[in-house]
Amino acid sequence: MRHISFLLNGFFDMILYPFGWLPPIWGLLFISVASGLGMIFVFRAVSDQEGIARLRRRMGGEILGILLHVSSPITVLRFAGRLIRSNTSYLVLLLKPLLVMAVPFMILWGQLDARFSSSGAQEGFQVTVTVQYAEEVPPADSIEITAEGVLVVPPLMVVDTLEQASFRLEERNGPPACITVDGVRAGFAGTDTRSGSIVLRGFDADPSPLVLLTPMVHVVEGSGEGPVSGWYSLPGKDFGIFGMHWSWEAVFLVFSMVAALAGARIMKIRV
Amino acid sequence: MIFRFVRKGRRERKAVARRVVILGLDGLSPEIASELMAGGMMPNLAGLAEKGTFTELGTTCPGISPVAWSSFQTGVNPGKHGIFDFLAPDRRRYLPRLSSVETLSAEHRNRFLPFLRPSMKQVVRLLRKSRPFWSLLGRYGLRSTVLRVPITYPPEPLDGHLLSGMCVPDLRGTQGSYTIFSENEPGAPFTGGLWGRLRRRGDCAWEASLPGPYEPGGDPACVDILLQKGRKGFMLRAGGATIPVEPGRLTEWVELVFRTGGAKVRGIAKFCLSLREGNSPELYATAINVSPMSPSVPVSHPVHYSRYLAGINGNFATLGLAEDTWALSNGALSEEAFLDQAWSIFEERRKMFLDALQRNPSGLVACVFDTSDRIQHMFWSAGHAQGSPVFDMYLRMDRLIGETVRELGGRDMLIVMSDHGFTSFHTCVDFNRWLLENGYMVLEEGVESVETSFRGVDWSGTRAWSMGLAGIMLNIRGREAGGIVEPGSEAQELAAEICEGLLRLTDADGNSVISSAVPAAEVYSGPYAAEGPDIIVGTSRGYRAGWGCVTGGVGERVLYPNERHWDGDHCHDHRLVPGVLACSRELSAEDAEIVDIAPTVLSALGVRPPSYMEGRSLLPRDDGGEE
Repeated sequence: MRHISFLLNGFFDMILYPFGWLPPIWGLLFISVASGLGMIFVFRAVSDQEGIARLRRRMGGEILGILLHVSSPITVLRFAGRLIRSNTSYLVLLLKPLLVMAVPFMILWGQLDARFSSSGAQEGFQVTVTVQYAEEVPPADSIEITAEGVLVVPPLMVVDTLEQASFRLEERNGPPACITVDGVRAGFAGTDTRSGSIVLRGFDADPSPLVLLTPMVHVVEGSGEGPVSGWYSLPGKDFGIFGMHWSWEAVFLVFSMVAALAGARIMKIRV
Repeated sequence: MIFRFVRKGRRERKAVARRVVILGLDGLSPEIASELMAGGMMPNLAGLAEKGTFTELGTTCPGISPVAWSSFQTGVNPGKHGIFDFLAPDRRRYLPRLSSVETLSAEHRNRFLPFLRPSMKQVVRLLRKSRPFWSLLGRYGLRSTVLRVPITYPPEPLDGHLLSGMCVPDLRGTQGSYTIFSENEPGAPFTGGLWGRLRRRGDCAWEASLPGPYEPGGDPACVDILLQKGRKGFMLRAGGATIPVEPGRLTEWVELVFRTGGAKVRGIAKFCLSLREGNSPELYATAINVSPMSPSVPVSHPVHYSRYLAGINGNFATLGLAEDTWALSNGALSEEAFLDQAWSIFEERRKMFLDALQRNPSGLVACVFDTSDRIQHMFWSAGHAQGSPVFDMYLRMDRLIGETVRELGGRDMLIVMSDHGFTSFHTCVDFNRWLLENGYMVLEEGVESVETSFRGVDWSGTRAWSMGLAGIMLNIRGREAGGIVEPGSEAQELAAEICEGLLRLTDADGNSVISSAVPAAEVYSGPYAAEGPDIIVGTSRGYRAGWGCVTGGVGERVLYPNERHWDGDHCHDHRLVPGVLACSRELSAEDAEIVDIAPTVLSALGVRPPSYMEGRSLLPRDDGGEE
């Protein structure tokens, strides 16, 4: 799974490489438009285009049937019933392409979330790190934390009942490549200064298939005594478009949808 | 709905039916129907006859569909509705024109963007006068659904839904012109269609251009089509769709988009591939029907009704004369493919008729099926023995009657009717040749015969001319452009003389060719009677106006054999081709005429027939009493 994750990360790094030195919005826009077009082509390939066209015509006919027979309530009710049935059939027709596209979409969503949802750690900025232990949290003075170019800001909080410990780091000399907590070494936020690179938001010692969907979580080698997972509280990021602040999800959904609809229109794909 | 309830008028008499269903089976012959009923082959029609009524229905003079269906819907004779034939004479130019529809073009300038180049806008006008009876029903809150009744194009507003029938044009503006594509030019010119070249592209592909509507400049807008032969067979790409084509079989409807004058015009067509000598492909395309989903001209009222029908049941033929009889006559379609086409059109109409029956529990539902007429026209000589197309057609029509009866409620009334019957057509009669040989027509010097449109006729010496299927016109001074016959007594004497002469016409065996010839004044009455022919000619069984003579040709012989596939007809003496009238109720149907249907339906629904209608209500004991 790690290898697949590595390949996926590399693939997206490669796609976004040309946009690395531009503001991150450009990379996000490019990938939104490209994925919108990609999804519409996949949709055409795997959907029953004839069936969709037939069903859409029928639904149009049923709506007109309601309008044309408005003086007969029974007929209107019958058409309404048929319309509901047709809508259900339409959703069933959409199911297959949606299932085919679901996994790539979730992987894409995870990659974009890892790259565009948070800012990396910046100099002078404090990041709260919360680590989770499998059993009892060791005493605060015995937890060993090291990180390059970073200052551990006291106090170190320990919550015994939740088996968690929290501490703050303050950037001093640029982002550190990694931190080590009780022997568990994990990548830290902002390991790459280029825009569109993965901003790590935590680590986990338990590799599962879900790791493909969460590239922002660094999979680490577990240590008997150390924490099993951890997460960093990083500030969110937004994008200024048309004088408004857009989250990456809004940018992605709007632009991918516009691109998909435009592609469908040009290529005469029925959705 | 509340508005409808408030505004509706009180019915003038007691309704005997909640709903009247009219099933029009064009051309159904009472003789054949009676024979098959007696043999137990038409049990559903026999059931109607047993419980209700079955009789002959007198048709109009002449018994031609546009005339008869116009009288059906208006309840008046042709002198009041103005339709005397398929074609009407343009007396100023001696040219034929369509009798029921007039299409005019007018320059249209955009009001908001006046600097743009003006476009040509078409205005279509229905030439049938008087009022159809369903327009009266709306006043009483009775809704009508009228499907494919001839001479309803362009659709007139009514309280209900109407889908136009006969005379709806194709996208080229004709009454149906097919296209045949082949690699080599046809040996001889043909009527009713266009030829296009199939250009070879590589070893296994051919391309062609399908001409559609004409642009303002005069050239047709075209759609490219590509025929490809692959391992799985032939594929046709047209209008953005790729469909498999099986030789000898018609495809489904293909949607086509033509770009003309900056606008998109949508049409639909079916294709049929034939493999000729040396496996050379020949591709047939039907006339390009107006798309029911996006009609470029209105084919229904309201305009969404055709969209509704296409959405519910799929695309359907909108062309008035949708069954391509020309293509069968010219060999562009095989008999099997023609029958396939005719029955697929029947199936489309059956679906919309049954849909209308289910959706309209009261008022009027009327639908006309043309398949019966077309099949008898093309397969009459094959007889109606078991296994023949005509026999199969009668059986299927009977099944349709059965389906309709099953949809009826206890208070519904079903009328099954045909506008005329059928008989054979083996010999053509060239009336213009007869007029020429008898000194009533004169040709210009050196002209021996005329192909069409009276080119070469010397009007300064011509006293009578014939155009259409059953009429002879006198060349009246002041009415025709080059008229020489004085109206009044001279014209009357001439008409009587011609009638007398025609009745003496016999074939080589001494059989009488003409069974009736009467001055029109004896047949027609009404404000438009003078617009029709001056003499109405009724031919005997087997004889009909010749093909060339109908459009203004003058042939070389008066009588000549009909060699076309079109070997059954009804354009004879109207007394020889009565239609069928069957009803689920008992009617006083002695000597029933087609003009009686409108008053009968109105009376059944509780509406007093207006005084201008000439027919009588066939309801028993219908004394016209108040409710």
